[in-house]
Amino acid sequence: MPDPANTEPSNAPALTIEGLRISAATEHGRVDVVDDVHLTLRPGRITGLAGESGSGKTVTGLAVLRLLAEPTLRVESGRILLGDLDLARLPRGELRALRGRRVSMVFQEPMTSLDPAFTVGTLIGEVLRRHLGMDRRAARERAVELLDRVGIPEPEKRVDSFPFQLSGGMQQRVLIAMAVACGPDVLIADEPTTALDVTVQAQILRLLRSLTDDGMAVLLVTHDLGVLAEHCDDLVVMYAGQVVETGPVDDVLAAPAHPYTAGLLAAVPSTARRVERLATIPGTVPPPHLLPAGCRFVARCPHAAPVCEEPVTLEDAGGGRSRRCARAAELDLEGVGR
Amino acid sequence: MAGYAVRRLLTAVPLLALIGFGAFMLTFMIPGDVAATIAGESATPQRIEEVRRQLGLDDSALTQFGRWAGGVLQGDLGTSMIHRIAVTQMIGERLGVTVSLVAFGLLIAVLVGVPAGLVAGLRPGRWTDRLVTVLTTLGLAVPAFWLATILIIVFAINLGMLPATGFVPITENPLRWLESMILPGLAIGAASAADVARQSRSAVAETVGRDHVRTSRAMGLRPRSVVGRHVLKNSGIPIVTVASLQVERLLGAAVVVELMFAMPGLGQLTVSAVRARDIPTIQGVVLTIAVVVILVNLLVDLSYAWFNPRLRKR
Repeated sequence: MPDPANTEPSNAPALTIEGLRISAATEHGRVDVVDDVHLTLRPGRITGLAGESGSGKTVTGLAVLRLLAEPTLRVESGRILLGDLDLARLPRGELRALRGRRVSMVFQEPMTSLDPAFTVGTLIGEVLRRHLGMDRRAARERAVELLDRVGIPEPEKRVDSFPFQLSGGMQQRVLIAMAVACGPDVLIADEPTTALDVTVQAQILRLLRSLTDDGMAVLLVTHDLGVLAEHCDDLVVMYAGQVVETGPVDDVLAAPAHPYTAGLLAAVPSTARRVERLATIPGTVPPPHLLPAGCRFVARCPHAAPVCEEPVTLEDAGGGRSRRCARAAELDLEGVGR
Repeated sequence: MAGYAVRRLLTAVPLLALIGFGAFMLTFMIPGDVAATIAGESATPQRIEEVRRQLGLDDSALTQFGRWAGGVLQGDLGTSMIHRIAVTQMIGERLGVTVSLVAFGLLIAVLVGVPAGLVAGLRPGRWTDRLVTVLTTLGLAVPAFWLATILIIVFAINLGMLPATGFVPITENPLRWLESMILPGLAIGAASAADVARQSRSAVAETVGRDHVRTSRAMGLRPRSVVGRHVLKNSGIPIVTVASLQVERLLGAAVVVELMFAMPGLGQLTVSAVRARDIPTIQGVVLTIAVVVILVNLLVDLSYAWFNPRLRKR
């Protein structure tokens, strides 16, 4: 869905996921946990991937780098296009050469995601040496610069620290430094701030924003709508393994096109209104082996109608937006003013 | 780190004293009379009594221990009652054989055990993992003396590939040394290799599932860096620990296997000394082995700090 307002050649997608389907081995046999996921990441933009736990957002993020725990989780079909390379089908060796260099990832728990047995300088240097062929000294110097870039004070000293000697926020900065060391086109950030204090969260997200200045595209996986509204350009909402709505963040928040998005927004407490009870979406996400054939949100949707029993596709709605709702055209859903 | 090593060595002193005392008193429970042995078969009771007095064996056990310990403090392990040779000299002549054998057994244990553990632990549940499990169970169940017998029959007697007995010092002929080491080394190393493989397998299986290993993969590192650096170093502590425990097991197995392969090592010396109740020799061997074990444990403890930087701050 190209944005007509922005037709510069640099705005070609950095990464496109088309029709991604991922299955998991469960006690009920192999079931799809991600189905028909489409999304586009653009250079210099942060795309928020939102959804409840179990909606398939982390699995989608991991699938981009083919880091799924095989054979439990397996990509069944779909394409993950980085330029004209399909990451889902690339031979392992070629994929490894791209990981950390053109597509990179940061994780939710910085304290366990950094190898405790090596200094941060060694960890960052290792990535540089692997992909850019730097020698030990050059890699160390570059590691100091990267630590400075991600906002770590006294980088010449910190480069010799072990991860356990740093705070959680600093550890996440180190992980980000490793991930962006080779200037990747795409960064997958899987709930990078969930394990951190609120004040540190904002710093890390501002850091991610500043890193997009050079054209890096970011997929920010999060369940925090505040983070989405504040720090993302585009939004992709997932429900029960499917993308249900995409579009520019401000547009989607102002006027959601899918009842699930509207439900999520209504569930965010506002300071503008006094409420007796916090709003919730009734019911829970159905487990992957009990999904209905039609709209997967039907059982929890206040606008459900007989038409919702039929399968629904993700449909382009113009203005860079798309949604998966049979009744989208007739509904007028409430968003949040900004 | 140096201070820690010195402190550890100092605490080893009372430990050695305790081991020396314990071994000394245990020797008194062994039946037999060294005086009668020395005096000869046809000696009169008076003659035996005289020998006993000469050797100071008529004193109380505590007095004898004090006398021995006093000598040790001056660096003198005493003289063998049977052979009339300084104990330090006898041990010095034989230590090389036993150290060679234990080192060779340990080498086999590590060179076979760690790769086997890696192969099994990297892919738990695969056929390679099951194969390693079966082999380790077998390796642990087979006693060293039985394996030694089989190896001698097959490779020395039937195939004639390797010598069945003897020992050639490495300084004399390295190739013949290696030949003389292979069968006894395999015999005592097999159980240790199995043990090391088991421990490595579980350590590696635990480490590969960690988040930071996924990070290494996400950064595009090659499998040999992911496994060889990140997985192995983080699995290092349990692997080194189990390898160090093998030193004790191998020393024990060496006693038996040295006898079977007719190797002039500490094992032979110990068995003959115990039979004859040759107290100074027994004590010398016990102390030597205790020192070796204590040093190995110290080295292992120091290696922990390398594997886990968190232990470096004290």
